Amino acid sequence: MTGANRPATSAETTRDGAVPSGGRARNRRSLALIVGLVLVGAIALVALLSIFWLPFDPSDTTGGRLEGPGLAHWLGTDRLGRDLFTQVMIGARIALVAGIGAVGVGAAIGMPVGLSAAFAAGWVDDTMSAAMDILIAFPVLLLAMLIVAVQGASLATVTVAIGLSMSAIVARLTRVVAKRVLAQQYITAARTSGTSWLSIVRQHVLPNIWPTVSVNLASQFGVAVLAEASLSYLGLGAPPPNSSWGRLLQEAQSTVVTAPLGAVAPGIALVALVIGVNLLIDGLRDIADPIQN
Amino acid sequence: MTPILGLANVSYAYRAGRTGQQAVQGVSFDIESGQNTGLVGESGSGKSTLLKVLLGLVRPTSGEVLFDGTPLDLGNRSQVRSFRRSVQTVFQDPYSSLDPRQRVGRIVGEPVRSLQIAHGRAADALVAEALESVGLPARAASRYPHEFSGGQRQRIAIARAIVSRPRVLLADEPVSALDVITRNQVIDLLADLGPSRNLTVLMVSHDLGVVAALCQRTIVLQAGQVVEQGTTSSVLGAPSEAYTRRLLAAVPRLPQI
Amino acid sequence: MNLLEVSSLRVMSPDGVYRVRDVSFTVAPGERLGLIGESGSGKSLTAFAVIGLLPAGLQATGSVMLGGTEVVGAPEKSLVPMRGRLCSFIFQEPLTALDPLMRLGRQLAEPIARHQGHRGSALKRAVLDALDEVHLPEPERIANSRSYEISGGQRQRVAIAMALACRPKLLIADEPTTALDVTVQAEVLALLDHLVGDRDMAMIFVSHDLAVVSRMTDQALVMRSGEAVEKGSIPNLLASPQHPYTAEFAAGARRTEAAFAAALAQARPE
Repeated sequence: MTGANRPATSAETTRDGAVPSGGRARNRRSLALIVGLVLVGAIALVALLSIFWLPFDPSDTTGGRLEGPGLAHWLGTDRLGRDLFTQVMIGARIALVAGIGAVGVGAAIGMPVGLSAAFAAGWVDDTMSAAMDILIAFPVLLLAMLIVAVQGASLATVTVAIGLSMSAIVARLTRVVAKRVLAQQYITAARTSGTSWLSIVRQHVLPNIWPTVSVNLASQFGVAVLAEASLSYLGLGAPPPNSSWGRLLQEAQSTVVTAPLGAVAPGIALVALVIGVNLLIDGLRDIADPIQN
Repeated sequence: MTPILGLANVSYAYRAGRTGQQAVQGVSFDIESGQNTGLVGESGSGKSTLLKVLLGLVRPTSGEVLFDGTPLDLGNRSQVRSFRRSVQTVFQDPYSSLDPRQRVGRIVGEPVRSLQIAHGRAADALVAEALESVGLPARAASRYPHEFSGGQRQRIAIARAIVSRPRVLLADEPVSALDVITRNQVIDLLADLGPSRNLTVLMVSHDLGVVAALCQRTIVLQAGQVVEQGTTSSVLGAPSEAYTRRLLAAVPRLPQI
Repeated sequence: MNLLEVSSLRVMSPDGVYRVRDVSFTVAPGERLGLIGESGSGKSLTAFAVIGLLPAGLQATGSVMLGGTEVVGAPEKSLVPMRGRLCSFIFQEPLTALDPLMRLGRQLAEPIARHQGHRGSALKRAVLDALDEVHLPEPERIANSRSYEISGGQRQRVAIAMALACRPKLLIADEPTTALDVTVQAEVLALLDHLVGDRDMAMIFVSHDLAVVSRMTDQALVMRSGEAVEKGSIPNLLASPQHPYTAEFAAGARRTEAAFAAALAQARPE
């Protein structure tokens, strides 16, 4: 909105009137926040616990094959006789590490690139934008396969591959949001106050792009978890015995009719984590950015 | 007396392909201490471009910006520092000109920090003094911009602009986004800065009524060139240029009562 | 009979706050009324409510009789035919009122075809006449342009041509010149004055600027915080305001006027 339009009540009222600040939306948000917190919290606790304690050793094949749920094996066993609950616990840890790692890689590369692109003008800006668009169009799968071909399949490889392709999305968003911030008059005011560009980025640009970028990073976390599961399903992820949920799904595929729990358990865990994260973001949006209006 | 700020035959041309911005050609004028000056022009007159040159944000394509009679060299750090301290600015839009995520104290204190004028408590004291001299309580420092009305935000912006004790304030349409009553309060505040802080205002405005209320001198800009300049009463009262007369005739007037 | 009768109009926002409270006024055929107030005074919402164009979530109560039909609570379907024919609207920013993808000539042709039933070359002729009527140079070129290709003043003229295409009885102008340069504003005001006068149309002119309103109309309603504060002739509002707010508002407007008048009067050779 331009300053010239500011004094008009029509602009004011339309803008204010369009914001449904009713209590119902807020209640829905806080419910989403609670459900999201419970889901993500439970999975995070399980993942944390798996570091210190597991019901069984993941390579322990002494349980009977494809046993149903029971007192010893809460979720039963897989076709090699390994405890399913143990594997789901380890999978939670892998999912979280992959998600956080990929988001970390994506942010560490994407944000600086996006910020530089925001400052660039003319052909430099055009070239950087084109590069980002190409990288976004480049399938994660292909990128992961290339990296696996060079580095071998591991959790780190998939995480970096997912993070790399995410970095283009993060860079593009950062560029757009930062450009918008750079056009604000408080940036000019900072320049005429003698503030250096580095300080302007630190004091004005980063705090103002962070609410938008962080929400995007959080939703990218869900995408990364799903991508890791898909890549592991294809055998490009963490090797056994530390199986990710995607590999569990792949292993349970042949026995899905006779022993459905082998696929259902990791499947539910995956869905719960992704939905939980999305609900959490939805609920946190208000809290993360109270100054929005 | 040497003018504080002046333009000597300044031209600025945008690179090809950048539309929407008016270039300026051969602009010369001086800002004398104590002579508030109105820079009047409509859209496309080049006033925004000129303001960028005057603020030392861009180098003129040709000509010089004179600061205390010396050509401004943007590569000369100590000169730029003293220039930034002496020449401050207030913008049109009181919403876009304050960082929404900083507390008022931090916003107003930015020149103090960046120009290393004072530190710690001494800096806080300067901020409090600036806030009080624009009619805001010192405790406003701990609040965020969104808690203030448009007029109060403009006062905060003025506080930031005067905290370094500048000699010139370049104000870009400082009251055009404000309501009538608030507008007059801000004009009063700006008018008072001259005697109280030895500050000279250069105001860019399209509103000749506001210019008449605040400025001793008036410069009329059209299509990137100065068409007329002089004392406000001579420019407005006895305009020599057809464009100035057209501007004057267009000013909406109240009925005589 | 009055063309417009607004009585006890209230507009409530979703959080239960009345943005307009108990506003009543009438407009007779051919009459002009200014709605004056600062931002947040409810003047624009009042104007929007007159033709049932309130922003989503806002609820009007009370009564608005436009040409004998109740607008408040009326279904959108019955309001659509009234807009354009009985009453039309000019906005502050004509960009929002014009479709950026459609050539202006086609946009203007729509209401003209609807109202006058022209087709083919007769319609094209009528569109060019309408553009000529609002004193647009090169009507052919304007008709073939899109809204972003012409200047703000030209856009507002096209918007005026569209608003007048169906020969409405009432024109509501909401800050129509606020976004324009002073010289362009003067031209657009003169044009509006002339067109509305020629057609014996009634007009509601919404503005925060008393001087601009006084250029268009003699009668004005002063609003503040959603309430109608005072109604009267503008010279009276200036000379003997009854309400302290009117006095403050008028004094504010008179101050820059006085400074301007003084500068004009003080002319001395340098």
